[in-house]
Amino acid sequence: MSTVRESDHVDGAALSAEDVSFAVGMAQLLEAVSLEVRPGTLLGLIGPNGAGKSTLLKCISQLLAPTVGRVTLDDEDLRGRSPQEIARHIALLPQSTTLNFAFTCLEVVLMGRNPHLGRFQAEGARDHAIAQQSMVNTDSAEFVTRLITEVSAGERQRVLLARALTQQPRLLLLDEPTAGLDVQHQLQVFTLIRDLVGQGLTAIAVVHDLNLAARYCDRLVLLDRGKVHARGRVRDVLTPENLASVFRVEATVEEDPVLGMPRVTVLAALDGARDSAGDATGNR
Amino acid sequence: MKVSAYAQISSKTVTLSKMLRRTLDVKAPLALRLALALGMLALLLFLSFVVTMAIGAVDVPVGVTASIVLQQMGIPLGTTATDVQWSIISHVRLPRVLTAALVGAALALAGATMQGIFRNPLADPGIIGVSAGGALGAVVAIHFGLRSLHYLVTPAFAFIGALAAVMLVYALAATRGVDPLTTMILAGVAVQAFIGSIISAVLTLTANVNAMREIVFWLTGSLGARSWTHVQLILPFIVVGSLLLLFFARDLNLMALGEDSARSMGVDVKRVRLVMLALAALITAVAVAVSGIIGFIGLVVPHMVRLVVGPDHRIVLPTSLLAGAILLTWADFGSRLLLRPQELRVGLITAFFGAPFFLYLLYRHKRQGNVL
Repeated sequence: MSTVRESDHVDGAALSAEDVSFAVGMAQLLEAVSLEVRPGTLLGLIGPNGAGKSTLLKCISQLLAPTVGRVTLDDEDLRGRSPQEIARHIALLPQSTTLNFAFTCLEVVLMGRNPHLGRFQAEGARDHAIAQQSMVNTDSAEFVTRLITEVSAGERQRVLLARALTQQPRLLLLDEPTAGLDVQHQLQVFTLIRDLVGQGLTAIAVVHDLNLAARYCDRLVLLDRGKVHARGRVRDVLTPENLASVFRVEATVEEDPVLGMPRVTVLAALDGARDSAGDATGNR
Repeated sequence: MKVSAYAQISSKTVTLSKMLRRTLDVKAPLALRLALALGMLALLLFLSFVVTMAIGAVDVPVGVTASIVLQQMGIPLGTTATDVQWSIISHVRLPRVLTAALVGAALALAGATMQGIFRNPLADPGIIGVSAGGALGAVVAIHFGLRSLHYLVTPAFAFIGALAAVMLVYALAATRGVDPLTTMILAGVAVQAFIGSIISAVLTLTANVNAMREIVFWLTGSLGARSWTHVQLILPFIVVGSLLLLFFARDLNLMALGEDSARSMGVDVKRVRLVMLALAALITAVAVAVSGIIGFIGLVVPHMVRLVVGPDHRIVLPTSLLAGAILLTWADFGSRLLLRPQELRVGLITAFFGAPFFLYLLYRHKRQGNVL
């Protein structure tokens, strides 16, 4: 995968979520979640299934309107903004994308230009150039004329990432960007995201693989049942105690001698139900 | 044996479609591809008009037919037509062919729209109950003898019935917290079954044999004896409805990636979906109002179009419009010609050829795991 060009400096935005809550009927999916992401950093969202990670991403991108609380991008409240306006600043790579129509990969990537185009405006040379560069950056340029329905899951994910980058967002939201990818492409995708973040882009990624999270994220937020259980530097969040109380696993966390990063080794699943919410928040 | 032959043919069609798509290269500017496709189809539509109008109970030379059509279009190149020929073409066959073209265009565009919205290449304008509702409206008008009041009463009732059915399906599908697309399909099926039972009941209660015949016939669409009044009646609705639909073509592309993706790329999915469904229902209702139920055009045409031009709705929608017009013009021609001097119902023709095509699509869907 080629690296991002020096000239591609991205003007990353500062994101802040304040006391965001979200409920559907009686189910409280998020409860007073606050977080801040500085420009040019990558925040990792970790937590067990159903912790509210995807819901939080949707609230940040305003796909879901928070029941309570507010989300600001560079101190500007996102509430009430049109989807097109938000899409010019925030791109989202959803967890799964099903496609029944045989678009070519280039056509899919070009769709990312939508928020920047007028109603009847067709994509111009500049839009094509941006799409082309995104495909080069995600190592998917060779798929230009291939059909999106005929590429493998990993290839498709890279094309969809190129699609998100073509939006030229200032905040990139990724919902398990490496799900279904082989080891090589997992590393490639995260290396690319790291490069982009190095160029100034702000990003938030839901990550299931704790070691990938440890290696590539600047900071982590550990969600548990809709609440923030722990937050901060990787070393402070990935502790055996946190993993035991939130994930219900017995794990060791050691310094990896090669990477110089914490390495999580899961030893065994713990029996019994998880701690009550009251105990869990005690660890904050 | 048969299955493998079928598979062979289908893999050949796929290769052919890939070749065609390569000639219409994705990197070629959109406007160029669109102009090329529309230009070819417009020419084909004109030729279809002239040829299908020239042949009938009284044959009129193709050249003469063309000259009359051109004259009617305001291009006076001179004509050698006799008064009888002039009268047959411009008062009988031209309005009928125009009605066929308009109905075909509306059904095909509505079909392409539905398939985009439901993200299901097997969707058809019929699935949200438009056709059934229109049929009920017409059946009521016929049963109570209202059509003798004015010849536009039946179309008006059909239109009201079609819109009422769509609104009912909408209301049923708008249940909170459930996927509206799935519920809408289920509600469409339920409403159609419900309306079908009412139509059967009305049929049983109809004592007048002529009215009964007419009801049965109305349930299979026809374009016989359509006049300029019919053309004038549907033209404004279909033109305006279609133009507004084309307005949302790119949104439909983005919605193919799913609701979350589309919204994150700036599409107001809920609003766009509502407006497009309403417009598709409107033009289908208008078409049903003058022709009765003509099935499969909305299903078949967008498929054939996508095979050639690819799935980009900015091209698929306008080309479906013209291709639908062409296909129904020829289907109507077949209905006039096959059992001459008797006339078949055009709805029979489209169903006869459309249903096997639908099965073929299902077969391919199963084999490939996706359609197209």
